[in-house]
Amino acid sequence: MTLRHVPGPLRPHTIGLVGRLVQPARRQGGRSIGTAIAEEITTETGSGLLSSTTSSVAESPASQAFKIMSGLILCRQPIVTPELTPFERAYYNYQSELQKRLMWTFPKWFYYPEGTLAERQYSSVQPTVDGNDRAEFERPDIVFNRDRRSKQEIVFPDRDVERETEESAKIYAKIEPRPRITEADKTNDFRSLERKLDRTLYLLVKKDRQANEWKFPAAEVLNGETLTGAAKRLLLDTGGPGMNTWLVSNTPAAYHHYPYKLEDNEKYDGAKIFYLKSRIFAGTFVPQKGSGIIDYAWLTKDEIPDYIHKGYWASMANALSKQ
Amino acid sequence: MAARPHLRPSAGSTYLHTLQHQRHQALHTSTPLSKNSISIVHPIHHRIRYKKNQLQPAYKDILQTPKWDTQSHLFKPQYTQQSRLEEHYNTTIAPDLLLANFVHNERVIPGRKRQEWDGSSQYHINRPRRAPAGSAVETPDIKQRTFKNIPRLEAIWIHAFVRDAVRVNQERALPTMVMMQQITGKKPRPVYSKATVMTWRLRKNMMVGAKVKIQGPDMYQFFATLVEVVLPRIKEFKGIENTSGDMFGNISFGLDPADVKWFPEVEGNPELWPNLAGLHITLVTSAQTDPEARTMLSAFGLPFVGKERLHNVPSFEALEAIDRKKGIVYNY
Repeated sequence: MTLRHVPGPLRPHTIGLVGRLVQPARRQGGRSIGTAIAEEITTETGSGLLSSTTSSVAESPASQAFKIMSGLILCRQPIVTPELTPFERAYYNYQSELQKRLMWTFPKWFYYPEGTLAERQYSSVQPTVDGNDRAEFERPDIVFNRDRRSKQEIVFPDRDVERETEESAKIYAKIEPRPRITEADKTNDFRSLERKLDRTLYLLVKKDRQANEWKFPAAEVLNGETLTGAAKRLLLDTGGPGMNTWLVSNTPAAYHHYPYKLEDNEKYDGAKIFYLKSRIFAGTFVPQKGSGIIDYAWLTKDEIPDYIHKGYWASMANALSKQ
Repeated sequence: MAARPHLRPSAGSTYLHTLQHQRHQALHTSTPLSKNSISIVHPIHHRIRYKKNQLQPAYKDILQTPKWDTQSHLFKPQYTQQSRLEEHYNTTIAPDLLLANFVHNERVIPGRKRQEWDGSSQYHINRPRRAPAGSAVETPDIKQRTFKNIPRLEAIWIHAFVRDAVRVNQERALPTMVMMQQITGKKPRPVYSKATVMTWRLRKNMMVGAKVKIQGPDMYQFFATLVEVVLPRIKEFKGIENTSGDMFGNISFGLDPADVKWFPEVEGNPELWPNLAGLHITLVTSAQTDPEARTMLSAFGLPFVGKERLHNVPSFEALEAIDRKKGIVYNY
């Protein structure tokens, strides 16, 4: 038995090291331990220390023992750039047109030296500028076959189809971007990692129980285990080995705690979950047998509040990316 | 010896006297009185030059319109499209860096500062302070990492030294300038030699190369091309050396002339560039240390190789130990 498993009446915060982990009652104004270092959680403190403090502890008011858990915020980063708002699109369009208007005239003499065949081909397809195109109070400002009142339109000569090889045809082939809306978006497949390409997706798992079915995956930190170790074990036990993931930091990104009902658990008064952030790059989440997971979903930040209760959302919201 | 009132005004002299003195002096010199500069604060030695013809009303709009205004003749549209790399930084890299760089109970790690003399000698008075221990110049403090100072790519400096500009002709630097303009989209400025070195046949003020600083969308466009197109095509390339860096978050590396040809703008017209010059590239970041800058840059796909260089920066634990000796105990 480690100190962490010492039940209620003990006041472990008097035992220095463990005091950081098993908190005094919230009424006493105990500080949050959002950054408890994983190694320190698994204490190997001898029983001598325990017995020496027991006498003083027994007199103090009752405190709570919490189950320390390691949670995972497993996320898929955005794959494409965010969708532009109408205002942004208009702004970029305006700036872009202005840039073309103010741009230097294309230096033909540099890319198509005079007297070459390429120059003749290029010149033959360029539109001629109308020198008599006089608007009110304006006169044509023509330099190197460009009217500098407007942007320059350049026409590239047609390529030589007869001498075209397969390789050159590939270069000239028009690039068709793949749609931003995928099949998973159309069918509303929450289990697919290919949905909502421009948003960060977070993994939520569903367990077979009455309340709080949907949660971010979490597991208890066992004896001799670190927070990160527990997170890695959790990932393997719940999602299988078929995922390529990367743990962003050993520092927890979010923290949530909740009390147990008295009849539910005799050992602990509640649970404290430290969520580590991890990114998935490849593979799929496959719920494993014995993990108790009956369903899972990859959700954006906007969708998560529909799945979890308010208090849990309050703990997690700031750790999730808006985009 | 008689006092020289015209050179050293007495204690009772006024500002007007000083002016008169200056005028008196000016009458006997060739310095024109109507020099186009004014002083707006009392010590007259600091004067601000202006061009007299710009005071005419016709210039008012041009001179008073700020650069960012579309009405200004200096306005340059920059944000013409969404920047893919910048979006990637904002949505993915920045939040991860904030978490990864987090240090619990962090505090400012002081840099090397100039030291006071102990005052044992009378000559210590007014003597400039001693140089910092272990460094010729002062180094900045390393501040706490917060959401306000997440490392960010600020600018890229590109510099080229053209050897033929010294050996053959100064004009050999010009094609390199044009090439740099092609790959960056910004006009470089020439670099002139600062000294005369006879053995190299180098004279002062010779044009020996070019340099350009790019920021914002231009910078991200160049960086994307560099990381995704150019560097992967260099056969010998293994990564940027971890020994590179100026200790304060700026990473430099070089490209050979043979590497420069992989820029699409150069590769498209190889016959235009018979003589290419190598480039020195400096990635200017807002990171406070080199390892943090490398972490940020590697998130964009820039690989780093070699042993990580450890700087002589006192660790948090070391600072805490010093405080413990002083009797300051941290309670957390």
